[in-house]
Amino acid sequence: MLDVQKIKADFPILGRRVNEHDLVYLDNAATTQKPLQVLNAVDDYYKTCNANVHRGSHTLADEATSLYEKSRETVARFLGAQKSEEIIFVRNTTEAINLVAYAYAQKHLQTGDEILLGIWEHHSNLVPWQQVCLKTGARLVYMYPTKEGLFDFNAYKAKLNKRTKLVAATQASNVLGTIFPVTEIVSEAKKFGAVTVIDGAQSTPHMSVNVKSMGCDFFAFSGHKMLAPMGIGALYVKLDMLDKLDPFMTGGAMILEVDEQNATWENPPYKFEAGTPNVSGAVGLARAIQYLQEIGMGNIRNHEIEVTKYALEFFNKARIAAPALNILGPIDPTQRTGLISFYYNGLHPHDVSAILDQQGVAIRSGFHCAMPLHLKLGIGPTCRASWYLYNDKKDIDALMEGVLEASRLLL
Amino acid sequence: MSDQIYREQFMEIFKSNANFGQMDSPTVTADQVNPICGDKMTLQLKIENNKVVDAKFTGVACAVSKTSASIITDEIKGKSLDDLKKLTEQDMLALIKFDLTLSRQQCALLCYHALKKALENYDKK
Repeated sequence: MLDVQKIKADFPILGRRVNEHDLVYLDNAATTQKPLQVLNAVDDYYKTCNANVHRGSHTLADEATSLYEKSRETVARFLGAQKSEEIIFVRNTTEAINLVAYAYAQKHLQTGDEILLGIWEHHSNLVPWQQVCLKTGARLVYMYPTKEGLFDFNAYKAKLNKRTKLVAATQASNVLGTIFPVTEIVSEAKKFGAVTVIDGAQSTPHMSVNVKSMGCDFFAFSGHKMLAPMGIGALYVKLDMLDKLDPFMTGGAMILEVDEQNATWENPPYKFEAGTPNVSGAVGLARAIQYLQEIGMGNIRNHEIEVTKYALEFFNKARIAAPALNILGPIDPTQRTGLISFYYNGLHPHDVSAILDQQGVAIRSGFHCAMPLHLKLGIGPTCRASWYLYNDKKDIDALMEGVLEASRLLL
Repeated sequence: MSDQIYREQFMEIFKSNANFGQMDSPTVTADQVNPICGDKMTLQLKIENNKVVDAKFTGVACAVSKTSASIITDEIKGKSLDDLKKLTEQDMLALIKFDLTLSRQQCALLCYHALKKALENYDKK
């Protein structure tokens, strides 16, 4: 069990009051709060050795470069990458996937090719592929979840064929909460020679990830969803894929030589990191990873399963009393991450989240950047509560109280 | 803060469903989408002698949107088109009175934006 009270004390923001109540922060699938350890690491960087990296020959530039590259090594080890050059620093998952779309897919896909993806994908792992199709003439082929919100492996196998050039799959859905069998998804895709892009935005913060055993070609995640500052994330590119990518953006820091008409590129990963990078963000990300690893990814996962189990029990009980209440995703807490999306027939999710906010409980309402999934399920916007290592059953109690209050007021 | 919404007065108007529904043969109709959440409202006006004589709305929208639409449609009945064209967002928020956060103000103004569009549609006729 995690010592949640001790963990909470590391997060200054969790001590604040909202609308005259103690803040209960349950919007972690959108972004997480930051511990003092991460805030101090960023602060220390600016106070002691801020300088631009990979250029200049003064002491500060050397120290900043060394910290930046050490952060890259930390990320590489955390993901189980073979080498640190497989890690490209980006702003977030969206930028990482756009990098793959522009630097790889636009170059290698053509008319008649297929991109296979889930209807549950976040817009960031869906809209870039629509754009690739518009530019190359390839087409999108969708997978749909089972009634229980799980991955339909037989349907997936039936949709894979020799035209499938790319499979874009999230490891965990930000709406259903479902954890998808990405290792099996990748190994099936490989049988057809399809390249695999895994969206790890909702999985990396909550469980152990190993890109090598997963076998994927690309893996993307955001730092801000795992205690790091906003504006830093990473794209893992398998070593033998690196030379198949064109630069994404061009300019400073990514070149070897430039003359009036032409330029040559730096080696990866620098070839894909044009301009001054987010060094303080990378330092903060490395510190966040250290923080998570000290607690243990396995312990975090087990804690979240416990909290999810507790929340699911409440929702299942509440549904008996209020049949208008619906929840999305699998019923088994071990098959999902720490979030539950729910809605009331006849009750707008904005009103539900506003009533919760009046009690200091922060959740999200809307389509959660997954409109195609909501359309497919034939539902409107939903509410989503999502927890992390600093949330406990007491926070779920506050959520429950607010949900019941909303139905009392408005139904 | 949002603490003041969902109180008695608000709930009374919300549950009254005032002016919610459709009318036969409206003079002009306008659809408006809230870009923040995708909620959609349709406003119908009956206009005679340059005055709004009836106003109704429909749509899938939150309680703040619906309640505000009830208040706004009540207010505009009997008003001249010239007077309605002069109404600002601030006038509407002052009329609605509920203490709203910035994001919820957009919900409250959904009907007002539909009204603006309806008046433009009428002028184009």
